[in-house]
Amino acid sequence: MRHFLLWVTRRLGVFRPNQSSLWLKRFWLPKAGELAEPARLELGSRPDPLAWLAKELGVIDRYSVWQWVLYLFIYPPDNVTHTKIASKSTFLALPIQIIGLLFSMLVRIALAGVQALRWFWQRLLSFLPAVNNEAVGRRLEGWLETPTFRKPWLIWLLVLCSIFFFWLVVTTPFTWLGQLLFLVCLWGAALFMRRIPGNLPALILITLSVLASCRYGWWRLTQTIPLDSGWETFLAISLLLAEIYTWIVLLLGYVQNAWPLKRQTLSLPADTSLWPTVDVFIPTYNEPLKVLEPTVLAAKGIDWPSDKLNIYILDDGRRDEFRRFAEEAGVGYIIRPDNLHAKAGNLNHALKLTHGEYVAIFDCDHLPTSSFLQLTMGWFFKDKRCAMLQTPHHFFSPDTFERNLGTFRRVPNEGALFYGLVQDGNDFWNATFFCGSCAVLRRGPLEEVGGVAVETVTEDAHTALKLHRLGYTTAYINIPLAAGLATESLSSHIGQRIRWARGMAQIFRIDNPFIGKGLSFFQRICYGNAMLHFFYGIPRLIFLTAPLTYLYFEVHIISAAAAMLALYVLPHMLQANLANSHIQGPHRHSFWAEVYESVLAWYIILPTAVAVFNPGAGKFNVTAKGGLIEKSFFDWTISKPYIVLATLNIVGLSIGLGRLFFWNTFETGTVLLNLSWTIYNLLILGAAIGVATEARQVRVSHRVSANLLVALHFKDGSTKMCRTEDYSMTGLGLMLDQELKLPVKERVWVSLWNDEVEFAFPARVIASHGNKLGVQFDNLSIEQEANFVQCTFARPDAWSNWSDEQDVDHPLNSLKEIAIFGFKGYRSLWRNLGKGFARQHQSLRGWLGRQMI
Amino acid sequence: MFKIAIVSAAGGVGRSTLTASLATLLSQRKIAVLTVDFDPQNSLSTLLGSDEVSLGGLLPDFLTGKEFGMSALVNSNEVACLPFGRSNEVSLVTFEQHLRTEPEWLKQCIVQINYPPGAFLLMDTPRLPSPYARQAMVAADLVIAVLAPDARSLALLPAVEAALTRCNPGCQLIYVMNGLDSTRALQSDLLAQFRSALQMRLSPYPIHRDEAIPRAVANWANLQSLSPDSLVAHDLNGLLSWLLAGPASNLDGRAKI
Ligand SMILES: Nc1ncnc2c1ncn2[C@@H]1O[C@H](COP(=O)(O)OP(=O)(O)OP(=O)(O)O)[C@@H](O)[C@H]1O
Ligand SMILES: [Mg+2]
Repeated sequence: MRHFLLWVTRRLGVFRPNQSSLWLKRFWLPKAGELAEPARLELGSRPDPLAWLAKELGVIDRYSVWQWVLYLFIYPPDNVTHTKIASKSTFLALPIQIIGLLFSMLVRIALAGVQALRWFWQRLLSFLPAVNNEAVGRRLEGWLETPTFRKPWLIWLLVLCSIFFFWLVVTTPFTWLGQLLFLVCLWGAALFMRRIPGNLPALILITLSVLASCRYGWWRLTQTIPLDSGWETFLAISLLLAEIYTWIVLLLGYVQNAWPLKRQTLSLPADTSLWPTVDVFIPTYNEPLKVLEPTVLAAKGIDWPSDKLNIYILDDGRRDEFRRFAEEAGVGYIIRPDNLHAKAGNLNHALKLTHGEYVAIFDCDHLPTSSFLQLTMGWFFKDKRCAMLQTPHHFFSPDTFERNLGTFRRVPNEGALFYGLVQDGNDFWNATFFCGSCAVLRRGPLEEVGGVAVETVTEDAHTALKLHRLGYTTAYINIPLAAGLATESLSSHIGQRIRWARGMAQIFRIDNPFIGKGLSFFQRICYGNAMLHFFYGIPRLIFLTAPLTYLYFEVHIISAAAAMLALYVLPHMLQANLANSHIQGPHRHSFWAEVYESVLAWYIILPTAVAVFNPGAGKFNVTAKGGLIEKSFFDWTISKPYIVLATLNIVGLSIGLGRLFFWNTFETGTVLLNLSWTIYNLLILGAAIGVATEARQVRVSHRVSANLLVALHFKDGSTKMCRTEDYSMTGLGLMLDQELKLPVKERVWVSLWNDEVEFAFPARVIASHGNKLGVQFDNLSIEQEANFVQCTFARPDAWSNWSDEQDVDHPLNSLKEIAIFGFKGYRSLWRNLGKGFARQHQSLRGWLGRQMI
Repeated sequence: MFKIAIVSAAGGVGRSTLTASLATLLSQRKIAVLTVDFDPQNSLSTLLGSDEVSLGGLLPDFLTGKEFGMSALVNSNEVACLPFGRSNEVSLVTFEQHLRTEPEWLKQCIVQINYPPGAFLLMDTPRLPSPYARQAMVAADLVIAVLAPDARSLALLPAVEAALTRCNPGCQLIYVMNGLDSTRALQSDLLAQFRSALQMRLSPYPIHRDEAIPRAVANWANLQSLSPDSLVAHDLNGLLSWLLAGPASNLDGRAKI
């Protein structure tokens, strides 16, 4: 085999197989190959203009084509460095440079275009009278309250009229000009509307979007399905089904989020003897004690009469260390003989052994703030049917997306949409989901539905569904009252989402919210949308590959002229985008959903499919938390699907360019449409690949940035006030007014305040630079740790201003940012590919070397 | 004029230091302030920056029949201080005799002082029980009792209250802790006990034990400019703001005159 390889290479004219440049010359520049060996002999014999040029330019290896290109076009001439550049690294660096150059040029051009458009727009606007958007918003809200709108006959009349006109608009066919006018009018109206804050403008935008989408859907269904060949029809129907799926999810989403409730907190009766007893459950399975400890200490500090608050660690790992800790901390410790039904079983077992009127549940890495019960329990007094109250899951560490793309606290994370908007929307329809943690449940109803549901792996949502079926109400308060660690790595993130997707599909199958008794129409829609949402796997893959069918095989899966398609699809996409940007803006930036979904799409297809066909199959996996990624690495295993998809799209793009310029010049529009679609897909896939580049994590315990007052007590009895930059369970980063040099290891005390009460903690200096100081705690007792948690993680306002510094959503900026992430993703892929090749190259060279001898 | 008496049942708890520090801070906030050293120790003026113990003061003035307040000094921070003045055993006996017969002597003297209406008057006193402290309490609108973070101060809590009810029943009484070392668990526990015993009457800003205080005294320097970012400077600022917003806000001088 090896001999054969060597023989082949020699035949091909490559005499040194381990020198990559020879290969390049052989294949890419056949003529250059002839120069390779004999030309060397003639060197220096007569004046060579090429040699002179090479010297001037700084080209070291005259026979390397890459170096010529590099020095001629890339490196500035004055920057000539006479260092030997390894041909391989040049080979790798060059395309990156060229792509970078092209990319920055494109960005420049695009930015200039945008600038020009903006200028033009501003000029246009300056002719119009200024509008006070806030005031308009208030007036619109005011109208809703006027009694004119309360007359039932008027409402019915309006509804009938709207249905008629709606039908008219959706079904009337237009010429291209008509459709263009439709697009422009709708878009103009939406651009005006989106500036006005409030719920009514959101509803108007939703209406416009529904109009555009329905019109597109009608046209698509009635005019664009090719019915000639079987193959084509199959692909066309797949795409159509995917589109219908997104269309349904879009509409259901609009209903779900039509009027976010934004529930306020209610105060409790002044007489604390009326307050109920609460059991706090902290289930744990395999998490380290280091993760559980702060949670228990924070729970102990919850502001509630101490005789009415019982905390239990529910340890499914049955670890002695945990038992000892529970004793030391003075909290309950419950174990069970088996691990049946995982977390749900664990909770149900504890339910049998305890008696509190309410149960608060915290995952073992969710630290509650001290005000948790005081701010939530009020609703149970007001609403006697209220069975469950959920609060957001807040994360103080960056999740995989935020860490690997560097968007922490700048771009709303994946969960922000659900906890910032969807749950508030659900709450309006009395359909708040239980999310397994950071929630309070009334024991009576919970026992009535047989405890936490065990039939599915998303026991939380299923429990809420059962409660709703019995007619209980639920509530959501969108104030982060507990915080925890986000999933650490992409693989664990995917693992967690697979579980959610599986569980939702299971519920869809065995307890479908669209059928069965007890739910209101809108509750069904909320649950239905939540479940349908997790079936995005296949549709997303279809969208990521749909343009390829044309680019590869010239199959027209939409039978319509490109221009017409663009005219119909554009309003649908634009309006949906503008409406969503208005509703979701603070919670999800435009186009990010695509990134979040594309990362998961491949992985949730199988679990959801299996769950639908056989709900019992598969096993439950627990998400690992509190780990540390010690070295940056590229997750090849996880990213395989994205790389395959990206490769397919890149090939499609190249073929498409061929079609554009040579083969399909008769249908340039179609080619262009498919090309732009492919480019968009490539950007999204690039961002997904970027997420697979796991960035290194520097610290074991996460630091939360905060500006808290601190007093430093020095050994000599003097003191200094300063503020924290960040805190973690193990230490503080401090910022002083002036420079202060302290020896490392110096003992100090640091005091923090919880409300007005001061707590001092022994610590040692671990770093001192300028006016910054890092201190690490020195063997805190458990009581001191509890106090520390109360001063930091468990402060009532610890998380209230978390997203204040977040960027606002600008669809175009967002697109630009994702494009940049996409580009970076490919760069990282390329580099890691290079590293991989280098490793293989080395082993190959060693192997070939041995063969030669 | 807001008249504040600074008293304590235990000695050496930092009354004079607190008086001087508060006075300096008040004048930094552009509030006119006069301190009266009503303690035969005659040490307040040194705490306020005078380099030698002043001989003149309210006792010599009283003995020589001069008008009250004639020998007040003003330091560079514009804090006015009326020292007690040099005394001897005989003069003290005479003076104390006089104070016993006329419990409102100080009060009447103060009324005669011509001072801007929004000004503060701080009176330093010897430890209770003492005729001087009693005079100051009678004259005061607000009494600040200084506590040390120790069991003795806790035991003596009722004594202060009793002394005040005897001589000036309607007067507002608040407590300030001084010399707290928060790195000691015992002291933090005691503070918690004081808190639960006194509730809102205890200032939320205990003054910490801090080297910055003796250092400032030794350097004849102003604490706030010598160690502006020390914990004790923070405490004093907090205490004063709390006083001005709470207990001292209803002592509006203009309304009273
Ligand atoms: N917060 C503090 N930190 C450090 N030292 C202090 C503090 N407060 C007072 N001291 C020191 O304690 C000592 C006694 O203070 P001070 O003279 O003010 O107390 P006092 O109550 O007026 O005493 P006396 O009963 O003698 O009048 C002084 O040396 C002072 O410097
Ligand atoms: Mg004194």
